[in-house]
Amino acid sequence: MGEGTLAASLAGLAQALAPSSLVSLLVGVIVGGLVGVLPGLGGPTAVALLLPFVFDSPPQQAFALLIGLISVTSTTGDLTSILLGIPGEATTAATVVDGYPMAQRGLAGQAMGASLGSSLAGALFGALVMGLGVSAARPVSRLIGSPELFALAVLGVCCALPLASRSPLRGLASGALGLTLATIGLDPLTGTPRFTMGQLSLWDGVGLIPAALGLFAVPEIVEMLGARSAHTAVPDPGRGQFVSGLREVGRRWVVVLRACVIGTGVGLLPGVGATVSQWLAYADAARRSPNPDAFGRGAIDGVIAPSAANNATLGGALVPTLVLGVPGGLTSALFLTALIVKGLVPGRQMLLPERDGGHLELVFAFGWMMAIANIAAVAITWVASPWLVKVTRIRAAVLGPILVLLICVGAFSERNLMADLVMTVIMAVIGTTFAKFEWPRAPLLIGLVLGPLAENRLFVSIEAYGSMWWARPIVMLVGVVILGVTVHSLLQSARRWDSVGKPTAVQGLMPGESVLIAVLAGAGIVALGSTATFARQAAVFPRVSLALALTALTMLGYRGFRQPARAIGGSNLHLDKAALTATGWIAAFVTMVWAIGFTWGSVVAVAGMMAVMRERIRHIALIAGVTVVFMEVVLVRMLHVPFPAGAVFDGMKRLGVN
Amino acid sequence: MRTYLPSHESLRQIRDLSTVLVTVAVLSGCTGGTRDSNEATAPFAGRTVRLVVGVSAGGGQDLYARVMAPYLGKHLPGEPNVIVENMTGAGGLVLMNYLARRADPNGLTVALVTSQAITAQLLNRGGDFDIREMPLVGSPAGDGYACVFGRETGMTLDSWRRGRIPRMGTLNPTTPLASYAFLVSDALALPIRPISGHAGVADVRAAIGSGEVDGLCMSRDGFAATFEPKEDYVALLQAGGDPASHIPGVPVADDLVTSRRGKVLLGVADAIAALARLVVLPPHTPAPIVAAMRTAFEQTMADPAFLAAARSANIALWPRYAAELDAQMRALLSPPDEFRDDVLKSLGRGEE
Repeated sequence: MGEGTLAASLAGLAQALAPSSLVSLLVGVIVGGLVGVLPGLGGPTAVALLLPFVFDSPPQQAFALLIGLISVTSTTGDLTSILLGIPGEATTAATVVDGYPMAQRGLAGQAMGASLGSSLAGALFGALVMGLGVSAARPVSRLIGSPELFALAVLGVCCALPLASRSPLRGLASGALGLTLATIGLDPLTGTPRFTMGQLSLWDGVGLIPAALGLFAVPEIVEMLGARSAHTAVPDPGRGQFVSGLREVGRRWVVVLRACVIGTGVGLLPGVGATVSQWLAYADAARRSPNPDAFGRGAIDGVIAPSAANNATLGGALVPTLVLGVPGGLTSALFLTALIVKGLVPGRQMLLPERDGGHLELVFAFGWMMAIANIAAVAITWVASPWLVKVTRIRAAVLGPILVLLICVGAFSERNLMADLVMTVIMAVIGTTFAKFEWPRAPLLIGLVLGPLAENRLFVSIEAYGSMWWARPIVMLVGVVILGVTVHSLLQSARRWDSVGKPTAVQGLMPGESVLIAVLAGAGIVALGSTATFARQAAVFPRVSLALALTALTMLGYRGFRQPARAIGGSNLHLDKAALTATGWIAAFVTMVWAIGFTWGSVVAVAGMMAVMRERIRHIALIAGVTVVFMEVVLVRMLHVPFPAGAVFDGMKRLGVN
Repeated sequence: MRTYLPSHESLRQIRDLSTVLVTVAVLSGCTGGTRDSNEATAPFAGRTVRLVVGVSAGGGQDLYARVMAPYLGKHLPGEPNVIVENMTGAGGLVLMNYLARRADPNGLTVALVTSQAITAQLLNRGGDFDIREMPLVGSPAGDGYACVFGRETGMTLDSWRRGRIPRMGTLNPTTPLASYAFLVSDALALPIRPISGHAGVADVRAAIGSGEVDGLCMSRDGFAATFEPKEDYVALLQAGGDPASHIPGVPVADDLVTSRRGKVLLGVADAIAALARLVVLPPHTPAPIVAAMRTAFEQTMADPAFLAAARSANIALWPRYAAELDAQMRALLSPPDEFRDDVLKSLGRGEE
């Protein structure tokens, strides 16, 4: 580090520690922390709401507010994933997979400690890379084009292979289904609507928040409402567990470091964000673990890796945002807007010290602010942890309806569309069914996240470079890595098979699983037929992904007939009358919200669910009142979430009934 | 495993629950009643006006709405609170369909829409709406466009006119970025090789940096505000928009076109740029409300506090009003019959 850079870094630290900056930063941390905790309401929503304050504040305070906010949403979003099994953000879905099982086993405190410790490490690593990496961003960016991004997307898909090591065919079917769902919407090249069924809301594809909530959160709630006693047996963990979680982070520093590198590296790539990096880090941890079968059942590495990665991504993502004006994701795009509003145009000026007309000190201040914000977030959460953990001890009859409400609000508020609620229900049906039959859900979400990137970049590569698009050094290097990762995963799978003398993979079909395979295959064949109407280029990707899915399903079906059926007892879901009733309640909740609007629909549905589950009347009254205040005051009046009036009231208005 | 079907005990609970709900309904009705009583006295007083934007928060269009909203409220009768709401989807077409089919024409919903909606209507894709039925309020700023190339490409207007084929980064067909490139190319017989599928202007700029594409045709305001350092880029052509914001020394496309067909095609590109930010109301909004909204918009555009806020937010202003915009929009939607097919073919080139 040169003398000038060191001086700029220290000047940045002084800017970050100025009292006005610290106050703004703390406000941002508190708002961001709360927003992160609420499922679906993400950093972008909060940044958008705070933009008007950015207009009027001095740059230092405005950016302190924004950085405080965007730095901690993933940190606190991870806590929601652990405590409730609901992704607080789309970027924290991977933390659910092992964090929630830990909480169910009474290790919520340890999972929280591990998540916060690794989040802090990720954020500090990201801030460091941001400080050091800005000067290298411009030359490096010249080496990264569409072929490299395509290769990296394929690498991401391959990295997901270990997530399905217990049942590779089911994993392949799940991933291919994700890739197919990712093709829903307007084809990026020709603008051809694909699988949109005449719905404009599908033109932009399947939203990640409805998908993450439907796939991961709803099945947990169905289970909770079905079993009813899911959380009540969890003992109070105390602070000791929290500390032990922090210690685990230190002990597993290699996992943390690898996740930090993955997170920051993904952040550096334009157009790829923490929704991808969390899964890559998770898959990497699973692949390298001596006990990969523990993943998905409460492995602490499965909490540490995604928590570190999603926080490290921000530091990486701000590098192309600041230097090239190319945001890594929606949050950094909003940050870019704030920069431009304040007259700071990304580019070389960001690399020059103030005496030369640049803003290098401010760039370093951003890094320091990120670090301080995360330290503050960990400190605040440390204080609040005993109360936060108590959330897991709330009765299912109270917690379940509230969680359904939060899921509905989160799914709606990403785009303010009722159609996203319907999509959440569809994804919930898929998620619940997959959970029931032990199909891995993570590959589906990874396919959904990486599919558009892979398709876009492949076709841009072919258009820009022709048939030799792959003949570039980085592409070939990544190609070799892809080959290595794939072979390693297959060998590891085979080795586990040999070591116990019999297959550990899930082989035979469960009772009823053949129906799932038949339904998916039928839908796949219909979808394949409809690609005949697409433009030539627009049809390629859906056909490839559908062919993959149909191949996997056919092989699964064939094996199912040849091998004895496996017992249903291995499932953690109970597809009995109670679970069906719980599913019915969720569907009724959505229907109610659609019919009479969010506020009244929520009140009726929450109170109704609690009443039928024989909750005490005073509790029902309290929760109903809190629901009204939360919906009308917090969401409508403070956050300006534009809830629709409800189909019944709309219809009455049309008929002239007041 | 127990099921949760209603029993006698739960029926009693439900009875109690209805008492709770009635109480909550009465409490909530108190605030709702206040709103209704105000409706009779003034359309805006004590109400909240939603300024709906068809793109996600944080983009340029959204920024205009957020800067404008408080001042629009200040100049409406009764000084209502104006809030910005994002209704994204299908490049703004979800919003257009919402306005056409569902929004109440009571003045409490007003929208900032893009010319992409007009292009979609012209190409007959994107649902069932007619923007001509939506009363225009005004436009805070139209735009021009410029064809910009990486300096390292060595691209010049001469080499382009002599037949060098640049790789032009575009987005989906019907987006302004694609429309400008296709219309300019066809109007001036300048060859291009479109590389579509990019995620946004910033993505194309990164592609220029990595040498993947040579250039793009884009908003001139956007180029001025975000493409830095300027010495890395060269603008070869520009057209449309406020003459005061022309880039010095860069040829104006309209000066180079000689054929009538070419002029029509460039006229369409100019109109797409000029109608980039339109404030409209839902169809069938009563005339007094339209008039009040137009007056408030005009007063906002002249309000020194708003002008200062726009300067502070780094957004360019070129306000224009309903009559002028209406003529331009109708002209865009009804190109001369003899060139209609040329316009549609050019705009739809990316869909081939």
